[in-house]
Amino acid sequence: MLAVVLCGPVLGIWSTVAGADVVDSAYKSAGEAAMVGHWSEAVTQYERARSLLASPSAELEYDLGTAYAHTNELGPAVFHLRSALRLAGNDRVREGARRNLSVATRRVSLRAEVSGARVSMYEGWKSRAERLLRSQAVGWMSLLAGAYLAGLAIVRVLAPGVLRRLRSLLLTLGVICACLFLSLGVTRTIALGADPEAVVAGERVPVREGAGHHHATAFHVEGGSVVHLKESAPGWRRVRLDDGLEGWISERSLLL
Amino acid sequence: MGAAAAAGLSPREARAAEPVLRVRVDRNTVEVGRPVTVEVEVKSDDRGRAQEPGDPIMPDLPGLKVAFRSSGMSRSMTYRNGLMSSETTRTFVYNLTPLQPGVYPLKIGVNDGGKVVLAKEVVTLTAEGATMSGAGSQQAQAPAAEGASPSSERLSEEVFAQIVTNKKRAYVGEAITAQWEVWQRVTANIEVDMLPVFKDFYAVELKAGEALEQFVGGRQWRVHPAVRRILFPQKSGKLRIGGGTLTVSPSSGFGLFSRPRGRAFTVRGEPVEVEILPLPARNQPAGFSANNVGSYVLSVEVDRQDLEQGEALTATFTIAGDGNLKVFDPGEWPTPTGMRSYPPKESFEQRVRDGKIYGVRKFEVLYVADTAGTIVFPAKQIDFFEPESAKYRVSESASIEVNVRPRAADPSSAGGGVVPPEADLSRPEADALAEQDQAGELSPVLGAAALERGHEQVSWLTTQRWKTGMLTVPGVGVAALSVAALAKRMRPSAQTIQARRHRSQARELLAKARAGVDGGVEFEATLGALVQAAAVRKAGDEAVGRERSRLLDTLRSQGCAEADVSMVGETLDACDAARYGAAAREPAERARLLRGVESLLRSWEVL
Repeated sequence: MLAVVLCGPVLGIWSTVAGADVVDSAYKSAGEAAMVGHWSEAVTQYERARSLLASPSAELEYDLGTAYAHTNELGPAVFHLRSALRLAGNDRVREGARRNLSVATRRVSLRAEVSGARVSMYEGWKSRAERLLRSQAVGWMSLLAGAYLAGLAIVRVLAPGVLRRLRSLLLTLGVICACLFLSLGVTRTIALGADPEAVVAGERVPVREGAGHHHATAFHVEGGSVVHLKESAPGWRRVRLDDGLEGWISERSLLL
Repeated sequence: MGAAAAAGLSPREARAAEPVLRVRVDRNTVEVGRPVTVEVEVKSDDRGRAQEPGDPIMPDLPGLKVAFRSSGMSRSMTYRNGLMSSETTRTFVYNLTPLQPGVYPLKIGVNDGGKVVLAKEVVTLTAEGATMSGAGSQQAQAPAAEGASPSSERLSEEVFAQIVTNKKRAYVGEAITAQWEVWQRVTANIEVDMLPVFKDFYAVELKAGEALEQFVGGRQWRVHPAVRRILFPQKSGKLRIGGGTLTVSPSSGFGLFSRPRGRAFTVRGEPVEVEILPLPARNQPAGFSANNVGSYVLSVEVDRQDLEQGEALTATFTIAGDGNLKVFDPGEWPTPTGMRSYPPKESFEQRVRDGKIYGVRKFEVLYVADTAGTIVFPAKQIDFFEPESAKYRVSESASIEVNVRPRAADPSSAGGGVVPPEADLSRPEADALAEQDQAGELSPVLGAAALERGHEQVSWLTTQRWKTGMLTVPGVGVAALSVAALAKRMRPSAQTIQARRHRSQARELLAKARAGVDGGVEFEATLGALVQAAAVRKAGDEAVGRERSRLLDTLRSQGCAEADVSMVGETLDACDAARYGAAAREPAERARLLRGVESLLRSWEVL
């Protein structure tokens, strides 16, 4: 019993270190394979490192996305590069991810143009507005406006004299903050509740009229396209493209 | 002269004016087999007319079927200068159905007392399209049509169905227009149980036409073109088109008032046989595809004729014509020496006009110039069999010369220079380009020996926290407002505050009076003020400023005990006396007076 109590923490620390070693080993192997242009091997090792890593890493996502871009697997490339940008690593990662993502999306467009498949990558005003509303800045702004209003309410109770002296200034600011609080609060809530996105994996993926392979193919969408998830059925997801087209895609063709 | 005058003055036989005809058609050009509505308006003056003009005499033209639809009459009366006149207008509506193409002059007249009066303006009707066959051709001379009119046996039935084709003999792959017609001469509910079977035919669905009224065999029939298709026979021999099956439920009345009449029965359409000839072996080009039947034209154009070595151009080969273009086999597209080509991108459009099927099929082939110089696109030929002439024909595109300039020497420009427009890229080219930019365009991997950890900037403001914060604000506001309201509710009233103040003042005065019991300093004055104030408060606002006797009366009227009132009066009098030196008191007496006042004030709840 005593041995277990004493050895437990030691074993825990050892396993963490061992896990870290395995991740680093896979990551290093992937980097070496990438350096000599063995991109398939690099992808395998990066994926291994990713599966072993407990928390997501912007660096790993960037490297993995880049490796996928080299193997022309554009769906996973777009997915991992977007993840790298979302995780916001260091400047080098951000810069590289932005660049490689633009290359990957250009290739997706190119491939879609050739194959006649549809592509859903270009952000419309709605997507941009949603992204802006989901941003931290808007979140903080709405919270600060709310904090001001809450402070105003407290002052009114505790020190009504202050409110009487600075009535016009405080009330003007209060009206502005109330407008900000309400408008940003409502719109940001809507934006946060918007349909989640997924990236289409594979090439020229069929989008069907219903959830099942027996349904007719409505159109094809090129791998690397970003689609909005609307509804789900066992093994299938109803997706919406940026141009408004909707259809069902097998879950296996989506990177969520 | 005299005779003339006599003639001029002699009474004439009253004679009515000639009727006036006006002919209107809803359209002047129509597809063969489609009905045109003709409205004939006969306007006649009733003065001096013994009888009205007869019904319109419709033209009896070969290939034009006339069916009467309806008629109407209106009469107008005019009273002018003491004279009454009336005019009758009769309107007749007909359906004219051309059964073969051509121009039909519609010379329509009326019999007016033995004389035929024609419409002043002759309306012409132009029919386009292929000649129709079938029952409707009974009035028409349709040389190309070999369809059978409904037999007398059929015409004796109330409802029957038949297949009408524009050809009874055709080549393999030649277009045949087939129409499944349902004829009825009684009111009935008709349900289709089984559509005709077009086995061994490649069928293209056409829009079924509108129902027509036809007068055949001395009876008025309503003909529903239920199914209309263009058929392309896929093999030679006698091919059969199934007749389809209907269930007919006779009824009487229309719409809501429709009632069943008799038992429902089944009607089977009679199958039709079409003789399909094989494509002639004579003069058949080698490797000829049996799908290439029709009449086609091939053309080609390139998007540019001057390009740099390594650049791409798109050649668009267009095949247009009538026939089953969708399955047309164009063969291999030419690849000129010095160029490489990629599989073509194909587009296809098809439309049906006048019972014929037309199509345009485009093949966009991407070529990349590998060598510099003048490159000639050779003429491309397509072979097809034209059924009308029963001959094999060839359509040839023009040959095109393309000038390919040598590639620029600067290698750095190679990446941008060789990039053709993205829309023109074929898949291999796109992949090739992707390979090209692997080295230059993509940022390299980080290539670190170990993965950095814990550098991810996780934002503190998570969605959950933000939502909590946003919900807290109204919560705080509501709480603050509640506290304010509660505080307001709990705050003592002005009356209470005043009562407290008075009580406090009374206590102060009482304390001062106590202090003056022994020495007598300001005892009476203080006690008098205390009792006076208490009495005024007890008496209410009306006692303020009144003289003492009135004050005491008011106290009485307020219901105070007489003993209390007397005590107030006595105390105030005693205090006044002492203040003015009328009576000096001993401390014991002052103490007694004070106790009495204290007792009174307690009973009044002043203390």
